[in-house]
Amino acid sequence: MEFIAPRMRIVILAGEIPATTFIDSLINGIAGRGHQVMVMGTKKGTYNYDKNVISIAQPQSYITKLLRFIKALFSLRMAELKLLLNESKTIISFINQVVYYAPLIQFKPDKIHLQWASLVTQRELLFDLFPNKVMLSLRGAHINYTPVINRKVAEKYQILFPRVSRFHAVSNAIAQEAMKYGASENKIKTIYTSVDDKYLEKEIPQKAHLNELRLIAVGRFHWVKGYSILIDALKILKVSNTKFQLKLIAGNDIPEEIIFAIHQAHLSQNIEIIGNLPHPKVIEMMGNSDMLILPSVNEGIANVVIEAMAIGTPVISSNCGGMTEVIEHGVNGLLFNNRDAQALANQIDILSKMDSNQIFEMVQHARSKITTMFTRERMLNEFEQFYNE
Amino acid sequence: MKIGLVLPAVPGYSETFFRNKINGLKSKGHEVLLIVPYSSIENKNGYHIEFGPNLNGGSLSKVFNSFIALIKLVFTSFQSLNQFWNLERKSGTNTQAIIKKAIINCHLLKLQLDWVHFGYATTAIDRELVAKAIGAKMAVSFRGFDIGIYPIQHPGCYQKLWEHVNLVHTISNDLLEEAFQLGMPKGFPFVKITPAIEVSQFKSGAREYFKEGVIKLLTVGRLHWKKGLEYTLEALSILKKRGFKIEYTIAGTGAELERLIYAAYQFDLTEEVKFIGVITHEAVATHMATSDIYIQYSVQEGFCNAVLEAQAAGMLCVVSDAEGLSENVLHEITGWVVPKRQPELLATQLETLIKLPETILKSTSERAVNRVIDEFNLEKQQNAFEAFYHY
Repeated sequence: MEFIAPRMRIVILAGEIPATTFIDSLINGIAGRGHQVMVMGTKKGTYNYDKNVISIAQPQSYITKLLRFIKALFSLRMAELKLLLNESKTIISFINQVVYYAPLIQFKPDKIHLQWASLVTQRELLFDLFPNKVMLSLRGAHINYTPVINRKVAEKYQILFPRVSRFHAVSNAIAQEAMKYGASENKIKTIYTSVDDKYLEKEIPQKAHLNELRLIAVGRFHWVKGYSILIDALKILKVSNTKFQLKLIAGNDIPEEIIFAIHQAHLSQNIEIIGNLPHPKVIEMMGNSDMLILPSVNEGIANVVIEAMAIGTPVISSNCGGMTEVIEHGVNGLLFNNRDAQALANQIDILSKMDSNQIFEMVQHARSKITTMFTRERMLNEFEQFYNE
Repeated sequence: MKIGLVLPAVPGYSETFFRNKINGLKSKGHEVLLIVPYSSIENKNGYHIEFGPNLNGGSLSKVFNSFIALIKLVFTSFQSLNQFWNLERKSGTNTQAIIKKAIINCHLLKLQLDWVHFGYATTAIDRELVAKAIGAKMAVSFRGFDIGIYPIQHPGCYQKLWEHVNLVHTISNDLLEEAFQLGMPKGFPFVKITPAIEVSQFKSGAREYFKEGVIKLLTVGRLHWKKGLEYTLEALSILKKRGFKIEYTIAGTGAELERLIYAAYQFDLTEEVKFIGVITHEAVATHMATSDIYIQYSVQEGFCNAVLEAQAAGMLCVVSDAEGLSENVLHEITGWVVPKRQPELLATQLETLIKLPETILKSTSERAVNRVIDEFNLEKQQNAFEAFYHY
């Protein structure tokens, strides 16, 4: 049954606009249900939001900034101006504060939803201007490793997290991480990502066994993606005479480390690195592969895995972050111990030796996991409740 | 003799190899000129330096500076330029490319030298004919990155180099082997001169390993992916699980710092691993004197001075078999060599060595100290370079 929420006014602080696929899908989805949404961020490209969305890009030029400042001076109340003035050390920072906060104040939001934890540390005034309205999403590096690496960030979180009224976590695992920095458990709600409905419409084909394994991995080059672990695992497979081809789809420049590792492992004939591809093409390649591998050392819940499970490509993932909340080892996919190349090689070997009926059963389980937990409908219902609580 | 040493930058204080070499040659009465790309550095560290043309600005200033450089060259060093032109022409280079090369090499073409020595093979690319043009001999050094990594993305990059270089200097046999695989003709004249250290700065003295059951480990160097530090941390996490009490200090900084802090966290080593950043040479000696095991588990390594220093300081050295490291440390004679990228093997090797009788540890370290004193001292290196230029 659909939850009927009253019409609300919601600000999404997205960091950049357009934002990530997931955040943009949330913005349009919530606006599509009749709520008034304002999205704010630094403009990074062209965007086209639902008619119920007001988008405000941060002004880049001084002239735009100055004009917005003058306009804002007439619209803000004295108390608000005083607060902004008190928090500004210089006239420039006062102008910046006014330009940033004025549209938010004028919008009179019911909720302000920050998409990234770094925004909490940069925009502390939100707590004074909008008491009990600030909500934060717990996702990505901001929670998973920035505070581990940088103690100062961790200390700042400890001070500010108790002031956040509600948290959205992309996985239970990341909720646990955030609790280390003062996010209280009863304020956190886990809402999983969602997959495009169209991937759930097609029937899953049963794949034939081929002579050579077709592997695929998708995600930018970054140490957190664990590609060096994948290369070590493939080296083990190659030594044991397994035949395979890996397509590695990553949009950014190939790091020297990866080129060297592939060379040193004598895998240049086995690995094809493919640059930026349109998303439908990635999905098509995924569909033509025998397995998707996620060797990441940390993830919230990786979208590529959700997509692979939706379209019926078997998944082998590290047991990092939230991945164990999606994959039940041996039932709807396979897991290996994080950072363990030998364990990954073993799982690839196990999957390659499963008969096609076993695999078919596994991918059916994967699909049903997605249709129960990762639909857009479910995600939007949960967010509506989240904003309304 | 007058020797021009071509480097990508003026050597910093920590780049002991070039500093030692230059000082040694100077002390033997040679003149050493450093040839580096244009930069605005103030501190020349006492070197005699020839800077390249300034081609860093906008396109207008680039064109202007190039034009000036070329005109200057025509009037001051016409003969070398003419010679360079003819040589390049003979090797099939087109006019536009020759002009480009003449501009980027204008600072070299005006010099009168006995030797042009390219400090890294990569610094010789597009300069293969410069030495011949100015009537000098040409030498090139193989050092690690230039042979091990660069050619993977630039196949055939040294083809022209092999045709024109007179003498090759390698710091290890392994790099020489790799150069042969890259197309260097068999039988090519080469001289192996390894890095060397100021042995007197490190005192091996009497020491007791693993005091109070704590295994103190150390690595000094840039935090670069080449150094294999994630593998090292993985191996140490295995040791910890096997019940050993460890303390691991990593001195140095670099691009991989965040990745390594996070790896230490995930491997449950936050308490055991200390990242202490860049430390002075004196502090390195102190750390080496008070730690037990030095680890250099690189995936690629030319030779590694820090390993020489650790041996001189009486540490037990465990290294990977990457390039020069297995010549730097002799397995089970002066230390222990483990196949690279295999943390399980590294952990097992560490465990085996920790359990060895004290007498074996001491005799291994003694052999290492003596070998470094005999083979890797500065004087020997300096004499070898003196002989190199009389080849």
